[in-house]
Amino acid sequence: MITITMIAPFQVQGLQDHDSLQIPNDISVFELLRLSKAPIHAYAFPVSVNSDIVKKSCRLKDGDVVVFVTPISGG
Amino acid sequence: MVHGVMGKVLFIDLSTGQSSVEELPDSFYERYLSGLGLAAKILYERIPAGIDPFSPENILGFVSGVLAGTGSMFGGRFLVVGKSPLTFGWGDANCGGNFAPAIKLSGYDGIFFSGRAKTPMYAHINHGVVSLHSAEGLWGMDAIETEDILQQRHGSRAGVAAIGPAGENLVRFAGISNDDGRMAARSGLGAVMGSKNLKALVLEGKTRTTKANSEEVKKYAKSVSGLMPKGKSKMPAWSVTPLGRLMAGMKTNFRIDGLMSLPPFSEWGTATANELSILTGDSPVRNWRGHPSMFKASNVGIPKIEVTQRKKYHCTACPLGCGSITEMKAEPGKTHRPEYETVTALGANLLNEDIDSIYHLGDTCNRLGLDTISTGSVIGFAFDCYEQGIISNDDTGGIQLKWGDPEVIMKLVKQIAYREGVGDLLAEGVRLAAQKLGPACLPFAFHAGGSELPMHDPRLDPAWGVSYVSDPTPGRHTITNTAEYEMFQLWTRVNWAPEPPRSYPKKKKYQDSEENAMMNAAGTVYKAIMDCAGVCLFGAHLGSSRLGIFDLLNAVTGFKFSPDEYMEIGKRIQDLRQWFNIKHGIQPAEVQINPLVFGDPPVTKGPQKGLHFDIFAMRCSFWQAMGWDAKTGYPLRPAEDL
Repeated sequence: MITITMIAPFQVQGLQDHDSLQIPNDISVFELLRLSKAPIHAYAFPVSVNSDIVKKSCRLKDGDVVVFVTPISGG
Repeated sequence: MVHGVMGKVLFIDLSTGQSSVEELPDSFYERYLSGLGLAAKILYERIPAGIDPFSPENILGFVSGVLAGTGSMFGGRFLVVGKSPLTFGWGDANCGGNFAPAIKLSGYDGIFFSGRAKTPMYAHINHGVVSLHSAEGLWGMDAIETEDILQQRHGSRAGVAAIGPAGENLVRFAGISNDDGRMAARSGLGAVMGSKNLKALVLEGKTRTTKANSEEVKKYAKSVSGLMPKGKSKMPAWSVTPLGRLMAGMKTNFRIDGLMSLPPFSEWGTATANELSILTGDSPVRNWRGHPSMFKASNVGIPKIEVTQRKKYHCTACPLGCGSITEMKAEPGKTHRPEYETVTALGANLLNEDIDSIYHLGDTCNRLGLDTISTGSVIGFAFDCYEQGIISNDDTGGIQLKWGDPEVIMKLVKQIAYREGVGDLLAEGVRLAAQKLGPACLPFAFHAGGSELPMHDPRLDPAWGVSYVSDPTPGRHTITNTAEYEMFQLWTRVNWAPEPPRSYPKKKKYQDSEENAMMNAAGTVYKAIMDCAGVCLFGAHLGSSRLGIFDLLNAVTGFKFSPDEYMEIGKRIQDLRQWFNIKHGIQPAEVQINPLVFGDPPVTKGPQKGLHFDIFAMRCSFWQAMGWDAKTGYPLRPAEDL
């Protein structure tokens, strides 16, 4: 198992304090969404891993910070 | 010894031409930090009660924050302060660019002007030495032209803050420009500068500040920089609006983390929300009384903006770089990419769908020295009044005030700046213009305590509305709101700051609850600390732990305050700002806002359908959470004890 940080604007199953999540080794972002039982619309969000926008086929490793990107309104 | 600050402030009396330097004891910085706190203490004590904002007795200050010039990321903001000619109370305007460190490099934490020069002057501070020069040849020039000339005269590294014709002509919402058109726009302080016959402030110097713990500052600089998006975002421009609409359409609010919005922010700045905010109902359309269907939002969307972007830029000490120079069809062919507020105030708010004209109007406002929020608002007010027959063709000199006509809007912008024709009335701002036109125009007047409203509809987030009518600077979108409170993550550092759940029903935001009031209070107090530190609001989106503002303040100054102790300082500053208003005759409980803004009556269609909230009950709860009297808004601690 590896531990990642997952920051997402949708419900994620298994999320611990400080946004940490334990997941099996060597899974992709796509598989992460499936495993965490993310809602269907979650697959539409662009995702960044360690501040780099990646494809959902990107494989995750221990310590990765996975952020699902959403716009906010500001002035 | 307190590190990070210069330990002294400069006072310049423009009536006599005399200047004096005051050294401030360490205990001053322990109580007020610098920036906003420094300004609040000085202005509260030294501006006589009830003076006219344009009188020589008003004081205009330029203050930098504790973190400016220390290598702390996002520490590049400065404030202009004074008594506002719009609200007749506390006025401040926050701005980025490269002027914040220039204040400190000149040798001071703040530079304060009083009096009035007999003829137009500009002030030059060169390595701490003050000189006043004639500005007769500059008077009448636009703000960017003025900066160019003064930099030719004093060197391209000189920091210049200047007013345009609007400030000279005492337009009550004139701003002050630096870095080729970045505006310290709000509160009308450019007009205060004009009332003092002060065209510009030029700063030169190399006075460096010290830091108590450089290693800690470097540690945060490295970790914060590491969070920034790498390279050009691969996020497609078209994807932003559908995603935002998806989120807006849900009945559940998911707690926002600032990391979520960094990639689009880095790529397109606040323009990210231009289209989205119209479609979701956040943006006012047609002077707040319209509907998203009245405006083709895609005309101001990211794809339209992206193709004009030519060169990304960063303010001083900013690792994000949300600024961009964009191509513009009108002369001089390029301008700062207009912020969301500008695009909306001069676009959807006026039904102006021509993006090229919005660029040109924004650039013209920058050059003339006008706040785009107030300018768009007062023109929207004029359009409504004209439509209702309250303003006639005789009043406008034959100009037909037609919604969405860029040429008419441009004419009005210029008439406002030069106080010509109907522009003379509109230059007074919405509140005073409405008083002159009579009660029939009140349904079309949108302001809070005299300050024109920002481009965010409180019916989508009541926290905006509470802030608009409760803060000592009313009508501000930069104090606090739900999404920003969530992003600040104050509960990770401050004991009394409530932690919102990861998800909750959106209707919870509309409740007059102690929890909502405490969140608003914590967000407001934190903003005061940001303005003492000189930190950018967008940097604060990273969260208080990741940005490390409390740790940085300790590392820079050598203080050993806890986050809760810093928040106490923030409360003290809020108390002082509120007392400033009371001293000048403002009754906080009398600050009103157009009822449409809080859904009275609720609209029957569109994104705001049925949305309403009890803004005044929520204001009472907020004041209570601030430690103020719930009914009057008076701080419970006397000003003398602060």
